[in-house]
Amino acid sequence: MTGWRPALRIAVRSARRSPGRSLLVALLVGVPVAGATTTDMLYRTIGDNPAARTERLLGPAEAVVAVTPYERLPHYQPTSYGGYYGSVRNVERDPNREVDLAALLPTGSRFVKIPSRRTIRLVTDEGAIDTDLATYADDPMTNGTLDMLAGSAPGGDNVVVTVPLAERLNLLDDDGDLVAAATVALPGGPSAEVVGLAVDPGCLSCDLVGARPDAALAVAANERAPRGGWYPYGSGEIEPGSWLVDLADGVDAFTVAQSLARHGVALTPREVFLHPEDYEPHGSGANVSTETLQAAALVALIVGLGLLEVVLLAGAAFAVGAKRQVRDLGLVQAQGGTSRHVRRIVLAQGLLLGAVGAVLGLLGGAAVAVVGTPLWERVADASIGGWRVGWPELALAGTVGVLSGLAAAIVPAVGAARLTPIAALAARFRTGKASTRVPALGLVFLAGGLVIGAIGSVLLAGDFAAYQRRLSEAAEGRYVPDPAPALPVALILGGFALVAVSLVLTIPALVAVTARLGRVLPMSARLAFRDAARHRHRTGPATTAITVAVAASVVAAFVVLGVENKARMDWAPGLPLGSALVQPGAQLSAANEDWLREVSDAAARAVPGTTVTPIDSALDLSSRGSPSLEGRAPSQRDVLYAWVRLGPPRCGGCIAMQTEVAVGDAALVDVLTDGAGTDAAGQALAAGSAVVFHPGTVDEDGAVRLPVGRRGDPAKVPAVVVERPLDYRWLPGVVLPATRASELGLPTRTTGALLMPDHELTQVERDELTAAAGGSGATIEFEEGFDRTYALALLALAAGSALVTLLGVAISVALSAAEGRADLATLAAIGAPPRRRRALAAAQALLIGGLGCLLGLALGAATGWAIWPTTGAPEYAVPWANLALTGIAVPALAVLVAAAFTPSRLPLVRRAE
Amino acid sequence: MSAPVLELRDVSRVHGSGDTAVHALRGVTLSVGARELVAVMGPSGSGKSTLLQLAGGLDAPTSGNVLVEGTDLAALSKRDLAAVRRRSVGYVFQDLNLIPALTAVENVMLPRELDGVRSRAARAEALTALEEVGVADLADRFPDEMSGGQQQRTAIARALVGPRRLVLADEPTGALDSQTGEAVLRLLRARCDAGSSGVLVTHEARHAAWADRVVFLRDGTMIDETGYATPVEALLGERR
Repeated sequence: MTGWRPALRIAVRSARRSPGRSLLVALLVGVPVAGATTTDMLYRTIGDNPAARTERLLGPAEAVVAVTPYERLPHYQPTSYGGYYGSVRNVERDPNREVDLAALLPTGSRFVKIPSRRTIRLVTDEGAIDTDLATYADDPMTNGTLDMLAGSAPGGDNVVVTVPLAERLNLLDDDGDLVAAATVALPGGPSAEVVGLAVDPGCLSCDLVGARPDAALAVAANERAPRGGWYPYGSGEIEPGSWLVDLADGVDAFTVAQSLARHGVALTPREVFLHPEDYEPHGSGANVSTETLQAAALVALIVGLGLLEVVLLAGAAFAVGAKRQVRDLGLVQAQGGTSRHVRRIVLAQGLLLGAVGAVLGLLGGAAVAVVGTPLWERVADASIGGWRVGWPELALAGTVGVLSGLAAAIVPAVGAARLTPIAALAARFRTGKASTRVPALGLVFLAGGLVIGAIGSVLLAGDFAAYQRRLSEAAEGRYVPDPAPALPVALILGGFALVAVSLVLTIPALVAVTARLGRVLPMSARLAFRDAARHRHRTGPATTAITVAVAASVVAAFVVLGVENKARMDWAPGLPLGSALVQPGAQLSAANEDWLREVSDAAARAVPGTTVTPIDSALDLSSRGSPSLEGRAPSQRDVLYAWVRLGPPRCGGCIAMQTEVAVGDAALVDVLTDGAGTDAAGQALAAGSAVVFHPGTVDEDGAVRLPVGRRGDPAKVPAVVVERPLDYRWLPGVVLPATRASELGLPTRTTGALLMPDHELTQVERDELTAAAGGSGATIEFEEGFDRTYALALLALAAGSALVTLLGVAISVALSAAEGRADLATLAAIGAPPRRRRALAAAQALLIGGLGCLLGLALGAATGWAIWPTTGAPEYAVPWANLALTGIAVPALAVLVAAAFTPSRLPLVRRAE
Repeated sequence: MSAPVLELRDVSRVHGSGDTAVHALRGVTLSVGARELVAVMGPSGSGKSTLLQLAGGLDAPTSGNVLVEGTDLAALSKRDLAAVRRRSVGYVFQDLNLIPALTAVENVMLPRELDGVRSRAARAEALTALEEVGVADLADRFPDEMSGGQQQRTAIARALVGPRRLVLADEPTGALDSQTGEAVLRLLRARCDAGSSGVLVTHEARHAAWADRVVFLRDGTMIDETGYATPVEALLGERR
């Protein structure tokens, strides 16, 4: 440590003496660390991870207990998905015998029913609305089910409501407080007094009534739909009838789990939820999938390129620092400092600024996370009660930050240590001819990268050609997987990485070569180009950083365009353009007319001039064991589907899909075919035949097969094919006349309504329609055509590369100005006008930005071209707009920004050397 | 007479080769004894600074030998040469002597710390050295908070801290006014009287007068080693 002390001391003081440059390096290191910190905190707190899931499902409880239908659970092994029963021999428990949990659990343990939810309908002055009822016991273990905002918690028969529901029910006054004597009621009673306002921490925008399990409202709701309908609090991953348990002190949950398993009770300790991968019944993450490896490799490549950017940009700043410090380093040598001492002095600065940047990044990232809480809550629609921090990840991010600072200082440190004492004392930093060995090594890397990339490309192109041939088969209905072979992609990305490394080694020499063009250019450009060549230690890394960033963004642009083309190829409209489909919830209401009236009224209110066409579906109840609707509500699962063959008859590898069977007349056919209905269709329906919209729906006899009943032969109904102009996937593909449905014993229910406005909907109308449909408990889907959601991604990529280009140019030009004060002073002394300084900056920006962007375009386009087929798009496409923007607009912008932000004043100082 | 602290034996230094060869020093022989202050005079480009660089091992002669306290520098590795500069030889330059990021005391303790001495001990030695040159009260000031004379005094303290007994001063008064310059030379003289040795490069005769002996260089050749005469004719006149 003694050897490092003077180095660290000089590093600290030097950092203070050059606050601008120090801050620049610290920010370059800190910004990625901050990004990682914010992301980690958000993921840990509101993301889909075991800790957050455990908090959501268990609250503070120590375990979850479920009473299974079995007498005992041999070889019981708890898992976070409900318990693995091992080889359960089906010894079912006598359903009339209650399980006494209190007797089974260790003395001193407490247990409460896990919070549950169900959909209920509430009556209002204007009709009825569907919402959710959350029931939870009054116990600390259910804390977090609802957070109280005002009033008191539910108790007895009293309930609380969430703010969004209170708004819908008009239960708030102008100040946002609960009105006096607010009540909610089920149709036909009972009603309950609303005593408080709450918020669902897991869904801030959710409508919810909160009640105790024995409240009259909850009991009544339970009685009206005794079979099912309840779902557990959270995400449906725990049996609704489960219990939350707080075990007595000193009791091992796993031991208790085994003793309960002997009584057919499954206990899952909290530990299992926190570390689910350790309790997988079939082993944990030993079998890593190819996709996981590919994703990890891609993340590693992105992180690696990001670090390379930091190291290059910060390295340029360090190089200038080392150069300005060179006489000090000479003095150190004159006082007996060795090369190692000199190297340490520069490295210590990297270490210091890396550490400062990492700390700033960690603190800044945490601050962004905390300060942005309202924004994150709005985006995630969940409240952030307390922050969870992944300390190991943050430690890793901080360490990587420190190491990136250190890495950025390595090249300048080695260069400074090579200086002779006399050269250092004379402040003669080597700017002459660089070694030819380094660029030569770079050329070797370049050749290696190109060869590896070319091999990958050839392999991939072979796959792509086969894919294109098979796409023609896809038109016949065969399934064609996307071409995504791992080896060629790995080769291409590996080649890209090698070429990126080669750029680091060769670009400084390339800058020098390009600068020779300066001899034919005007004076400012000539000076700037020569300056760039002489100071390759900073212009080289900056240009390389631009090249790598532009190349990565161009590759991503190719991929995004490919994904867009693939999506466009795969896209098919679900509905006629401009229309909307409203569907009730999972339970199909028996009161069809009521529901339809609600939807029609809501649509008429929201968008006048809308035609509402109800869609009645045929139901097949035989598969559920009960051939009638008596005593139970039908659900979407009862809807009858027919099979549509997309390939030729008896095709082995062809896709088939299901289509809903509707019951209706010629008018319905006309609506479902977007006006393509024919007289033949009307006549066919009148004659008792079916109408289908895809030839693959009928067999060779010209009949549609309806899979009615659990087994046995399907019902065959003669059918007429009326082809739709486009395949509306969300609409029924078969229409049966009511008489035929009745003959087949198929009851009907309204399963949806097609809304066809007489004009193109505005966003406001769409929102109103959504709100109106949502108010009746229904879901709504709009068909707006293929929307180009990728344009924004392409623009973001271009903006990203522009940002790095501007940053690289700004750093290099600013460092050039700082480093070249003496040259500027000489220019001023011999009468150069003030604008000359701007011209110099602009010319240097042109060289660095232009060269970086051009090289990046070439590398990115080559890689993008090679890797593009993996997107599965049918043919090559080039993101010309992105290429033009990156190749022309970005360098031009860099030139303009450099000229605009460079002070025109020339310094009048004496030359230091 | 005790063994010389510094000895140059027929030392030559040629930069470049062929037509572009520059003979910075030609066959210079010089010996500096203990407690002796030797002034080296000559016009610009005469090789004065080269001589000083060779004497401290900052540069190596093309031919001849440089011995510091009896050790031939040619036999040493770069690492050992650095050790010689830490333990035997101290430099004082014309200006910008001190590392601006370090305080006066930190500048003085630097060679000791580089030599592996613990900070506390190095600091104590440095404070003693600063005391000896009369600027102990400025120990915690940064160079840009000190006058030129104070900076040069600090540089002399650094050149003599620890076991060092040889100061190589290259125009140490060049950036100072005459009064301060005189004070700095008086200090240098005093340090030599107290036991150190010194080589003083200057082109001012009144500064050379502080030395025990004056040698004259012209075009890399030592033209006079006789002593105390003001060498105006030798410096400014035609080649003899």
